[in-house]
Amino acid sequence: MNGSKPAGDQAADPIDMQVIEGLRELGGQDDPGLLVEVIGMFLADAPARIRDLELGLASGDIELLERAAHSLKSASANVGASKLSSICRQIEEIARAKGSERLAELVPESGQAWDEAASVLRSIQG
Amino acid sequence: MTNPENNLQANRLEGCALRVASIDPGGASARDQLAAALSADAGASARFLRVATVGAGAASLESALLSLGAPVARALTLGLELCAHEARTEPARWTRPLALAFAARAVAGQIGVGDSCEAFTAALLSTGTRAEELAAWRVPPRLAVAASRHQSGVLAGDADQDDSVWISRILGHATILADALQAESNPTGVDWGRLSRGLEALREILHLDRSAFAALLQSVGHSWADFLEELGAPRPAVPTLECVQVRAGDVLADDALARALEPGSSAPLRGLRILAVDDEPVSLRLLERVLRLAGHEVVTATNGSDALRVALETHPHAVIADWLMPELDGIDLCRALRRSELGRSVFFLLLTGRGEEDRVVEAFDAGVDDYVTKPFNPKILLARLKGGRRVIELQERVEANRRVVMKQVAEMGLLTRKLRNAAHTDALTDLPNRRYAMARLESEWEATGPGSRRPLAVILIDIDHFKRVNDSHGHDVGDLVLKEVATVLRANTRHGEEAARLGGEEFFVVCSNANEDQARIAGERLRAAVERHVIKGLGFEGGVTISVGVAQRRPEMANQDALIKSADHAVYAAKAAGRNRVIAGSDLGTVARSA
Repeated sequence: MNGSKPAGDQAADPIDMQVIEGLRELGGQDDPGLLVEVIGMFLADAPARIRDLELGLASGDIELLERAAHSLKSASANVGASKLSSICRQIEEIARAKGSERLAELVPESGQAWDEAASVLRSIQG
Repeated sequence: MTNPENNLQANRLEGCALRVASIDPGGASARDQLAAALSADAGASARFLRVATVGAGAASLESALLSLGAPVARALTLGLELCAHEARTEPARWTRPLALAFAARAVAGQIGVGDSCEAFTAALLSTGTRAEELAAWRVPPRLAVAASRHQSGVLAGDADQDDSVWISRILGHATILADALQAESNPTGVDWGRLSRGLEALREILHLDRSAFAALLQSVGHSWADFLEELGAPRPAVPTLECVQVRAGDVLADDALARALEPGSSAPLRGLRILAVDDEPVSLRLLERVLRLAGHEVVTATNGSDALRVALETHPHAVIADWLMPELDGIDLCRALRRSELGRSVFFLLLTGRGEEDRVVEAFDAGVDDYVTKPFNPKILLARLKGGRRVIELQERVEANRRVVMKQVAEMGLLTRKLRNAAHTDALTDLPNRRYAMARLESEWEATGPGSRRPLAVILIDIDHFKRVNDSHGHDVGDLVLKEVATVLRANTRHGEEAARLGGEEFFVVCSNANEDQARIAGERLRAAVERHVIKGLGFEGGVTISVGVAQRRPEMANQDALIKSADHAVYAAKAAGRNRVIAGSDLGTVARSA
């Protein structure tokens, strides 16, 4: 909603509002709390995953990194946090290939993307 | 005798049939009279032999009459001649009876219950004649009862333990085969799906694989068509099993099958029961919502191990699972499910992340039916599920169909086992019956062939003046006498001697490993025991005696019928010599040898 930015420039947007609209529609008349509930679940679960990403990078636990990135990738995509999801996907792919290059950049980027996404989501949650 | 009987005979019987109808089926010379009537009519004897000597090769009229027994042989001749006479003018009237008769003969032969000629006769008479005709023609009661039960569409219950039950069952089974035979000539109104299922059940009952069953249908069909053709009727088309199945396949396509299935499982699935599995709570919540909105029932699990447990508890139609999960991942879950009875038929949809598409081959190898990439588009997910639903519905139908067939098979299999006993037991006396005795003698005969050092002897027994007992004291007392004599025979036979009732007042003992002298001693033991025994009951008190004929297998005897014939001559001689005595084949000198 917010009516602020045109749709389509998803990578730059912390939250893809089309996804949010989709969730609102999915809830419809009989499950109007779905959107708020899903955002709540995401906001409650994501900080632990972000911490796992940071922990995995710091300790070199590549499997923890992969698992956390995988989980956060789909959770964030579900609430329209496309930028976060895309960063997580890259982390997951690199971790799965047992690589390490760019992880030092990507993990902090994911933290930033999370902060931006969370603030938009909290405003939607109201 | 009575007017109605004469009328009936005048109505439908002529020639050979009329002569045969006048033979008293219980009379002492019934067999000889039948042989004379059949020999006088080449067509009639050819038809009779064609039916009576199934698989036995070129048997003589005499041995066929011996092994069938006069009452059944007489009924069979009546049926065949009536059919031969009328098929010329009204072929349509006998197409069905003959189809059922050849089918019944094949089914009885395959199940190994009872005598296939009796089944043929009952089938022919049940559809070709009226109940009052059966009574007037003095058809053996078990055949008449089975025939009229079939006519009136009554099923033989478990309580019916008489000798007619097995025939009724065989007629029931044969109906399916006869329907199949006639379906091709008259395809309108045929319920092909039902017919195909009936044939499938019958195939299971007969323990035949598909090709053997197809061959059976062909062979029955050709016997039937050949017979009709020889009667001068138009030759009917004989369907193949494949053609029935193909036609049934057309019907399967619409909903005829679903309608025929049990209620409940037959209704098309409205909402599926779906197990949704994801370790990521947001995805799981959304998945659940999408599925519920589409009308499905949803159960959830957050990891693979839980999912396995929930699947076994809730029997879902479909499982939608995330691929990457801790402990048991989606693919391992699928593999585990596919190993269980329940999980083999479940529709398994895997959720894959982006970038995992290149690994879906591994997923399909594990038994996954389809996949959807996450984050999923609800429309695409539901569309994929619709594809899965067709598979699920087809499997449900196949499964329900299999259950129906298995249920029929189980029911009929149980009955068949029960009937096998009933078919070998004489209902009145509980002794083994003629069928059993003949089968037993045949196996003994085969075991004591040329070169065998083991002797084989038989004892044929006839109650003296039994007709007199029946006439002066009534049939109930007659039955009592038969039962009492049976009890005495059973109590006085020893190891290796097996008594049976052949029918009427005739009994038979197979003495394995006994020569004529030993059998003569056994015969004397039985004769003395019956003479000593006092029968009391139903206002009757008194005794009966028996005439006993003994014969031993001799090298010049061609088959077991010659052995029986020899014992039969000895009984005849015992009667002629004043009854209540034992006479052996060798006492008769050349008489026995000439048999």
